[in-house]
Amino acid sequence: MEKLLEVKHLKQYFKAGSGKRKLFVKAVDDISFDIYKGEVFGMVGESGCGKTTTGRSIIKLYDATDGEVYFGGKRIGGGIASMIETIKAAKVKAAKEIVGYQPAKLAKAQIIQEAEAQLAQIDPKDIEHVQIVKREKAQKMADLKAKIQADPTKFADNQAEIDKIKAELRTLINVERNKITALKKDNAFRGETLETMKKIQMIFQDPISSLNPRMTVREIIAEGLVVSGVKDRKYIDERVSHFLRVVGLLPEHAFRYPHEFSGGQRQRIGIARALIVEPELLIADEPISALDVSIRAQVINLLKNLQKEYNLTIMFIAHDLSVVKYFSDRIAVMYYGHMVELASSELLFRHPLHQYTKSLLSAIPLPDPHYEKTRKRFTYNPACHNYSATNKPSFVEIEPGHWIMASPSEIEQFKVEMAQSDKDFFEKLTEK
Amino acid sequence: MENIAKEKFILVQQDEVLYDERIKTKSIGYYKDAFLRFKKNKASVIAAIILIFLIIMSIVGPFLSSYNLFDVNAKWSARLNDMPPKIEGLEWLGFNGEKQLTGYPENFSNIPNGIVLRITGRNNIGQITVVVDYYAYINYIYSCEIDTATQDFTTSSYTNLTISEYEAVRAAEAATGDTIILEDAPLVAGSYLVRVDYYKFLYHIYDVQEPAFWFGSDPQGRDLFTELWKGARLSLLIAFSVALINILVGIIWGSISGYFGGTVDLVMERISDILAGLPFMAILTLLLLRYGNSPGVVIVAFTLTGWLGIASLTRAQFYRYKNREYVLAARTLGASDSRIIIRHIFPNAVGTLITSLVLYIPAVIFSESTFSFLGIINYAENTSVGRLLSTGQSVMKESFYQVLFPSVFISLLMLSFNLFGNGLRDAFNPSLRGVEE
Amino acid sequence: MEKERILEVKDLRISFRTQQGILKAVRGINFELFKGETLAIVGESGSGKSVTSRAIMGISAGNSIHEGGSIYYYNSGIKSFHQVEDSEHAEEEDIIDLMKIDEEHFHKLRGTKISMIFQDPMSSLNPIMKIGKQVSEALYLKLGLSKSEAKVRAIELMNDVGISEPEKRFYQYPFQFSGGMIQRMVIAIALANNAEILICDEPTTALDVTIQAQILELINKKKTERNLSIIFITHDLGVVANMADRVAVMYAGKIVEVGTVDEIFYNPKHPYTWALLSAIPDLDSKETLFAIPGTPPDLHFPPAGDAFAPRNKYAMQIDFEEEPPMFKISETHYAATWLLHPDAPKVEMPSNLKNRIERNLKKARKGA
Repeated sequence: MEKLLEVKHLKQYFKAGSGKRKLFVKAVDDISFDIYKGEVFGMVGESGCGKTTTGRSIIKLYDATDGEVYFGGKRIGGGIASMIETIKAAKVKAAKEIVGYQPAKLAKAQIIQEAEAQLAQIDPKDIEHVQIVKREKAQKMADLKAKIQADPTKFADNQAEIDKIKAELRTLINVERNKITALKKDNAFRGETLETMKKIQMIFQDPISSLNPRMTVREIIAEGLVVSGVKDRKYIDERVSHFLRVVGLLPEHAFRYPHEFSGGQRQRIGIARALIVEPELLIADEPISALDVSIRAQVINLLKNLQKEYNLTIMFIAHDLSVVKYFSDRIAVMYYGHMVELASSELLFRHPLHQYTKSLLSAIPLPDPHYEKTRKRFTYNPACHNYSATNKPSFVEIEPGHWIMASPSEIEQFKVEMAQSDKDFFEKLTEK
Repeated sequence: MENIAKEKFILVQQDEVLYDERIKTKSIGYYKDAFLRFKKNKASVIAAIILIFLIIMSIVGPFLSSYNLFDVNAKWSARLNDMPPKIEGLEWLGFNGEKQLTGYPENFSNIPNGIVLRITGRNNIGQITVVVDYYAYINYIYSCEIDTATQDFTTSSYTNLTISEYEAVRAAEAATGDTIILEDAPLVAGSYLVRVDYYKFLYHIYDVQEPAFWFGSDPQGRDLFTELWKGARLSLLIAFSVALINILVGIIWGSISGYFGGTVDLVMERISDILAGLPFMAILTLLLLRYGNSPGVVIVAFTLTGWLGIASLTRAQFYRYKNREYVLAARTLGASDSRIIIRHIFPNAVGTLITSLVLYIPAVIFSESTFSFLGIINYAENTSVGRLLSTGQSVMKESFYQVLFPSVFISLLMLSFNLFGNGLRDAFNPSLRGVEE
Repeated sequence: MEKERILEVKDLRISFRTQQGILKAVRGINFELFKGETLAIVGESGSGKSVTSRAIMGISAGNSIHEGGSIYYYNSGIKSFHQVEDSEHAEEEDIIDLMKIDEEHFHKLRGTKISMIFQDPMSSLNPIMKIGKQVSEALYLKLGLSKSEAKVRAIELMNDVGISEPEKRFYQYPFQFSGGMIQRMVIAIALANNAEILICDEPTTALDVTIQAQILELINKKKTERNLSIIFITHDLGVVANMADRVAVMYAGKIVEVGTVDEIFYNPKHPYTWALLSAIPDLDSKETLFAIPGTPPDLHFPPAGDAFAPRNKYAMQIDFEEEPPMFKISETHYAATWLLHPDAPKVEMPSNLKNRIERNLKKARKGA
């Protein structure tokens, strides 16, 4: 299947506070995933997990801190943090190396280091001892100076090596700088990137604040066309009426103001607004969370139909797992900025592997009183993984199409678990 | 259960596709909705009416009373100084042209009947306080006042006419047959020291109708009614100009600062901080000293730093609205920054801005009046309400009305603006619009 | 065991004065609350469920009009209020009509007898007052405890609802808490004075699903400990299945179906209930969700007949003309739909729903 959106190592950090108390809120901390053309990709998680931030970073409402985003094979955004890190690290390394080729400096540094080591071991109040060490150091320095004066060539800097190192550093910095410029160019909301960005549209969560209360419905929906420079009134009217019908409203609703509509209707207006520019990717950011139960079904059905009819790719962000399962082809589970599991909705519900996914699933109430009375809930404790410097987790593909954030030891465990639950599943099927 | 016809129990819409219904209520635009809400607030509506009245009066007021003697001949006008208010038809309200005088009883003995109306008191050095029909009294003073000591006419009853004035008087007498000169005199050193019926003299020569100052006259004999509206005109003119300029500058500054944020905002905010630190009174005084006391200079002084408040408000509004989801949606649709500012953020902020504009005006009026009252602003030819207040203050004991009318005007104006502004703020309150249950 | 009635709402009618006219929010509802049970009131926005609960608490909005009906509170133990004495209640001893008590006296009930917890945790507590003070306030104002006694009791309560380190938390401000912890605090405050009726107005709608599960567990725990009677208002049917003993479904200001939780979920009879149940995706099926077309009616212009008719696939002519009465299905199960009239055609619930219910019942049988 063709990849429409590729997200590689996306990081979105927000700065809070300044100076000494500077904090980085790691809203999204290194996630990578692909979205295929024509699929519905669901993203679930609780508040603070970063799913909304991911959506907004893709659509460039925030500037990504690091990582890259590709749309239809073309890079549309990314962060420069890693390049800046690389430059910094290279400078530090080069500085260290250069000192190695400067014997005079090296010798001096050695003397100072020895003196410091000695001083660290004696009591600073013991003035006499301190004086002795200081005198020794001064003596050694003087000796060194004499040596250098006597034989300058022996202590001369190895200029050739130093120049080589500096030249390497320069080329590396240039390479990184070029990468940064290229990225900034791709990042800017101009020209080609702008046109590509119009193919990605967003539907928002809050029906009240997602529509401008001072514009009529017609103006709201027609915004996309007007911004693109379409001036023909008749054409605009016709398109607006068409999309109003598509979302189940009447053309006469076009002259009303948003506050006269209910939440579900407003969401539908928002959908019409996004559709009128004929996007390829629709990012739906919790479009139904603020709606009533029966209205949710309306909007979901609408999205489903539109997806089929317009061959849309949808990224569906939500925290209601049952709706996400119903609507999505594949689901990604987010937890505090990390993607912990990614699988097709069938697989995810059949054998969820990650402990967080399991706890999330066990917490969903279903409209079945008997099930509810017997449901046992798991709580998730992040410490249960025992991650450490030697036991680091990474995002691996544990079976085709099923990714999980796990450390190598956990992967073994999960494989065993999977085998077991597959066995159970097939047994259940055959016994029916 | 009553019997219900069986036919009623047929399924009627099993196969139809059901659309949303038409909306039954009427559509109300934003301004109309605000207007309806405004109308409900009785105080604000009354305030608005009063405001409109005051503004109209400031425009037409000076023309209503056709008295202009001061501009023509200040000398004769000065004789009509400090006259109490008199309006025909409204005497019962107090506009009766009466004034209180204090003096020894002998001084009042020669006054013709009908001028002294009643005696109101007696003090312990033998003086009495009387209430006189001041207009008649003045005419008596300048026509035929008799000195109690000499029993002869006082010097004030004599009027020094120029040659042209004298001839005009004679001509008028001849033309109308009316007696103006009560005691003739020969030409002495280029002028005639005659006794005239003062009001008749003013009427025939200077075209002054029977003097009846509606709000009384000031120490130079100017009609307070006219002066008040002239002053009002100046105050309102300055206030509106200042407000307009400040709004324009403030909005532009605030929207740029608020919309772009980041470094732009940082720099602009620091500039604002510096400007805010400048002491207003010092600047005002310096400008007036250097460039003279004209309304233009006053306007410049007020607008140098007056826009800071509006800028701050606009900036706050922009911060409030620029992260709304519909702004984000417009951005993803490709809208340019200017379109977002003008089409999306601005219309939402306009309610608050209009309110602040309206509430800002009385502050300017008060400020300007205070400074002209204190004499810091000292207009040469223009009348200002503040100046009226300060002159009035000096003659407050006898001519209380000279303080009364300007004070009432200022109070009414500011109260009305404030009530009107408050009403606007409530009417535009966006939290009452589009709220989900 | 004979169930003891504690609240009875009788033909309650409440309207609101709005800019566009009179909004008839509650148009004649009847239900009972028994001691020790949880009654869930299910409905969407505009159904009138919040209005009802606020009327019980006496905190209706300023522009509300009490058009008729009563709310009877049985055996409240507050003799000072005017007792209801009419023919219907001749045998009963202690009845007060909550709609007739004025604001001055209502505070005797609030907190001590009837408590309420609200939807948005962030605005439930005073942001500039320390948490501990807000809890102990309820105690020393109502029970007359001294401040130190109140503090001790407050810390006990905080512990009871599962707040860790209550001595430290006592001196913290609400903004230092998460939404779930605030809801716990709110529950602690609500139960501080041992109220016997607890009204929960969508307390978990704004919370994450794991926090929601915790809060629901807490409420259930309190219910069994103190034999509380709970009115639980929500639009989430999963939560209803978890919490409720009995369910009342409201639409457009009227109750359309009422019954035990099993009856409502396994044998629903009103088309609106069918629609609600069908609108929730099942974890097992992938069929199209049944969505109710259109939107609820504007109650400025309440429709004649059944309010649900314009959106009802199974509407009949009579639905547009006359309001259906409550038809009895069992002692505990009633529904207001003309489909239950003897002359009405036999209409079955939608097949999707039917299949789902059968599947669930099968699972239940297997598990049991």
